[in-house]
Order: sequence, then structure tokens, then C-alpha cells
Amino acid sequence: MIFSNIKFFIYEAIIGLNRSRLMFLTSIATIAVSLTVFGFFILVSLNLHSISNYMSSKFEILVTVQENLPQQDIKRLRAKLSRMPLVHSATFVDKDKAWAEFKKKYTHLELANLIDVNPLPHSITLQVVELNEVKGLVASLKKETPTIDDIIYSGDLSEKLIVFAKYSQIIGLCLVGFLLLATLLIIINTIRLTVLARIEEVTIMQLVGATNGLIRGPFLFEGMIIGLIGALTANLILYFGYQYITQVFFEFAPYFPIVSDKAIVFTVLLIVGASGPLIGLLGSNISISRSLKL
Amino acid sequence: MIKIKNLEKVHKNGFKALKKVNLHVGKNEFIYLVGPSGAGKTTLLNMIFKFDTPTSGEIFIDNCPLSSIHDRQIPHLRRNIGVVFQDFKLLPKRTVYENIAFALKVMHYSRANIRRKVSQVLDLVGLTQKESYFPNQLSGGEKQRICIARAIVNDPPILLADEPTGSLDPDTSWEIMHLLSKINARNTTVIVATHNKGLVDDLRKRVVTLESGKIIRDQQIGFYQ
Ligand SMILES: Nc1ncnc2c1ncn2[C@@H]1O[C@H](COP(=O)(O)OP(=O)(O)O)[C@@H](O)[C@H]1O
Ligand SMILES: [Mg+2]
Repeated sequence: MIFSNIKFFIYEAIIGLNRSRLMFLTSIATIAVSLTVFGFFILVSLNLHSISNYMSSKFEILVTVQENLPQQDIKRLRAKLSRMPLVHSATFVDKDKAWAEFKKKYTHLELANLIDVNPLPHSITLQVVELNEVKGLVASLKKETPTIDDIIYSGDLSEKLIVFAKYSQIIGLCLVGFLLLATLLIIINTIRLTVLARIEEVTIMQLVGATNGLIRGPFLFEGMIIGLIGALTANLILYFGYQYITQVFFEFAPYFPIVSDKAIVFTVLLIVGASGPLIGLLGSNISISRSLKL
Repeated sequence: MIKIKNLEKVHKNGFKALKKVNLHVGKNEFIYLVGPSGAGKTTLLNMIFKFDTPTSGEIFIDNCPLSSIHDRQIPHLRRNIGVVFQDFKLLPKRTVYENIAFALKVMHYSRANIRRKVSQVLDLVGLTQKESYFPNQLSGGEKQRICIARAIVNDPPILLADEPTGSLDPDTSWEIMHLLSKINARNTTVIVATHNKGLVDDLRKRVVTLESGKIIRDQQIGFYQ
């Protein structure tokens, strides 16, 4: 019985889709566009996340220690800092070593001839857990550790990146929400038209004693087919488009931490692929309930 | 078979289409429901197969009150009540065979059973040769025969016909009425709503007359008047 129902749904759905071909293609196109943007947004978010992780891992806060602080206290300070939850690791940098490296790095300045005394203080570099938390971390460092002389970090860039990531995520979410809503409305309308085109048939089905499930089935199936074809189209665009983009990055910006893990990309494709039929089902369900009062 | 008790229907716009209607229809009875246009015939028939709900009162079918039938059970009620209309309601893009088979398909009959039942009913209505015709290739009378065939193909105990001869010429109307009598003779309770005076007077059946939503006459061997 279930098998014969499914055959019935497919048969009726194909008849219906064939009848309103133009509307059908329009729906597929809109759902494909929306889902492409949706998938693209997920990929962009993942990449922003990857960039900020990358920057977190490279990001350091340099804490300079007060002059003449005994070695013992510096050690204690380092231990204390490394225990802070927002700190990933704390490394002591001896001022003589730092000065030697500095001079090596900037040999063309001939610093040795200009300055006799090492101007650098002892310092501790901190790797942070989360770029997001840098501001809070710096504030608490200032408050809690009087033995720190100065805190040096490139706060501006990291803050800008965070703000950029946050706003692009908000804007992206709004865009995706808007597009998915538009898609839903278009599917509702498409199915409404196929319902109206077959209102005679539906009435006859009701008169001869068809169950509501049997009446709804073909329309739900149509919605699902629209969603599925739209999603497959979106996935093709996303897959090849993203492959091209990663290729370009590999070639021209090999250090850029672009997400290219196959498992992650396929998960995104899977999410997009599942959203299509789901939106299709939801849209046709709403549409049938409204136009048939079933 | 069908018991109607104090049935009232007030339409959404406040119009009282039925007023305290009481009626008993016995098993295998044949009834003409007559009355002028707007008397409430369609309204009454529609409530028997739950296409519409009464404002008050009750309809019993085999002693089962229709108000107790849940929405989900309505399809099963309708499988026991065949319905025929003046405007046929055939699917234009399907053949005669497919139109009748459609009803059985919806009721999950097997393919072999569908084949058998459809040819039996086509034989009964006398249209075996036209099974692969499309509705627009048939005359009005033939279309109505197909509708009747579709309504009774699964042998429901009740057949309701709402103005089945409303758009047919007198001779064809005669044939349709005879077909309905024939179906009645096969143990089917039949109610025919009509305002075709000549036919009612000639066929000598029970006649129930509705006027302005009230039953004003109920005669065993009646006339239209
Ligand atoms: N859905 C409706 N809303 C309001 N009035 C209706 C509706 N359906 C029928 N009526 C009114 O109810 C009365 C009875 O209609 P109907 O049962 O169709 O009569 P008949 O079939 O005897 O010609 C008519 O006056 C009609 O205008
Ligand atoms: Mg009527």
C-alpha cells in the first residue's frame, strides 16, 4: 500500500510539474540561487573563523617587566600569567637575547655603533586562546599585576578583524534569512498554482474518499522535487566555484589559511543539499494547508 | 439506513437553508427529493456525505451519528456513499477507463481488481466500447453514465444523485433515471434530487418535497405537484 502510494505520488507530481513548467523552473532557479548564497555564506564564515584562529595562533602580547625586578619575581610572574585562563602559553624572553636578536634582524641600522647599553627590558610573550578576549585580558593584566611595566600588542588590527567578522556574519545571516524566506514564499506560491490547476482532481479525490495523506502526497512530493533539484544545482555551483577559489588562493596566496578540508566542504554541501528538500516540503505543506484546508 | 433528525443549516451569511428537517430512508429505498431551485436539496445531500456540516440536528447512517465521525474517518464514510452531480466532474485529460479507475486507485484496489471492477461497471452502464474515449468525445448522457459508474464502482450501499439529469435532454434523462432504478434494484439506497417533473411523475417512487428548507410533503408513490 505504501509502495503504491509512492508510485501514485510520483505519477501525479510529474503530471502537476509538467503542467506548470515555467513556475516550476522559476522556483528551482530561486531556490538554487538562495541555497548557493547560503552555502557560500557558510564557507565564508568558516574561512573567517579559520583566519581568526590563524591570527590567534600568531598573535602575541608582549609584557615588559619593571626594571630591576629580581629573577625570582619574574619567574613567579611568568607562572602566574601562564595560569590565566585566557593565556595559552607564556614565554620568558631575556633582554640580552632579545637585544642580540634585534640587532641581528636590523643589521643595516648598525645599532651597535649607536647604542652601547641594551635598551630593552626583560619581557614575557603571551599566546592567547581567543583573539576576541584580548581586550579583557589586557585590562585584567593591567589591574592585577603591578610588576608589569608595559603591555604591547597590535590590538587595532585584531579588533578590526573581529568587528569585520561579526558584521559580515550578521549581514550574511540577514541576507540568507531573507533569501530563504523569499524561496519559501515562491515555493508556497508555486504549489498553490499547481493545487489550483488540479482543484478539480482534488475535489473528485475528496468525493470518492481519498485520505488527506493521499491528496497531499503529490503536492508534498512536488515541493520536495523542486527543493532537491534546486539544492543539487546549488551544490554543483558551490563545489566547482569553491574549488576554483581555493585553487586561486593556493596559487597566489599560499599562506592564506583557506578552508580546503574535503570533509568540511562536503558537510557544507550536505547541509545545503538537505535544506532544499526541507524548504520544499515546508513550503508545499503550508501551501496545501492554506489552499485546501486539509 | 439514513435517519435525519431536526436537521438545521444556517449558512455563514445567516441564510437558513434547512429548517428542522426529519426524514427516514430505509435500506434499498429509492427516493426523489424534489422542490424548486433554492429549496435546500443540495445542502441536504451535501450533509449526508459530510461535504458540509449541519448547524444543529443529526444524521445517522446505519445508526452511526455523523457528528461522531472524525475528520480522518470522512474518507471511509465517502467510500460507502457514491455521489453524482449535474456537472459530471470528470477529469478531462483522462480516459473513461482512467476516470473510473481513479476512484478505485484512491481506495488502494489492486491493479487486477481495478481491471475487473471497471469492466463490470462499464458493462452495467452500457459503455464498454468507449473505455478509451476522453470525456469531450462523449455525449452528455454518456458522461453522466460514466459518473454513475465511478460512483458505484466499489459497490457503496448508498448513492446520492444531485440533479443528475439537469443538463440532459428528456430521452437521455429517462435513460439515466432507468439506470438509477437498475442500480437501486441491485441493493443500493438511492436518493435523487431533481426538479424534473415529468420523470418523477412517471416513475412512481417515494417523493419527498422540500420548500424553503422545510419538508412539506412525503408520499410513498408520489407526484411532483
Ligand atoms: N455556501 C452558501 N452560503 C450561503 N448561502 C448558501 C450557500 N449554499 C447554498 N446557499 C443558499 O441556500 C439555499 C439552498 O441552496 P441549495 O441547497 O443549493 O438549493 P437547491 O439545491 O435545492 O437548489 C439557497 O437559497 C442558496 O442560495
Ligand atoms: Mg442544487
